[in-house]
Amino acid sequence: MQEQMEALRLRFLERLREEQSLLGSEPLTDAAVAVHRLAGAAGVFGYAELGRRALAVDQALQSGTPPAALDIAALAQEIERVLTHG
Amino acid sequence: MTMLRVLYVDDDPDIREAAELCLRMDPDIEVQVADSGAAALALLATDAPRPDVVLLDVMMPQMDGPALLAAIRARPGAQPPAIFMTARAMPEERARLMALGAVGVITKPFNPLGLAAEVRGLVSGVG
Repeated sequence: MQEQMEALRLRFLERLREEQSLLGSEPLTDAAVAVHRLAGAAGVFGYAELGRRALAVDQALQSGTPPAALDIAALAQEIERVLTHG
Repeated sequence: MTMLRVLYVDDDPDIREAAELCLRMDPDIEVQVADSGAAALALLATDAPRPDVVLLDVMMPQMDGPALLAAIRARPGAQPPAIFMTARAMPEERARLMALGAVGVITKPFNPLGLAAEVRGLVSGVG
């Protein structure tokens, strides 16, 4: 079980690296899908802070208001931190 | 413990496989997975034993969770109870999903160690 979850965590990180470039790029729908995915999945793999920051952006997107630049920056910073430090 | 057949539907492979692992921690839970609403409906149309509960991701491409629940409800015969899985679990969204006939809403990210018990708890409250 632990080994399998670890394998999934590593795969999650691989996708995170691929999705990092989506943030702030066109089309916005791709970025929105990636942010929503992070909001639901990051916490399962131990990245609760990443999930919280993604949820802040996702909630803004859901309500139809542009996400705050600060929230997007915080999410980008957390993605970078996770990818750097694991 | 009572045997429980679960059908888990989610388009995200990471979360789908993690949920499958977590549910299997309960040896009396049997898990089927589907990566889309269409795949879930195809599974339900086979001769395989019907699930006792369906867990539906809310936001999926093509057919989202609520649309899938409506399609399941439109099938002939008694249909299993449904639980929605969503990261957007604010009270108004939770109320909207419950009003669609779900027996529960589980917030994503779910607790890996508590998912099986949470599902059992929601199912045991049915009826």
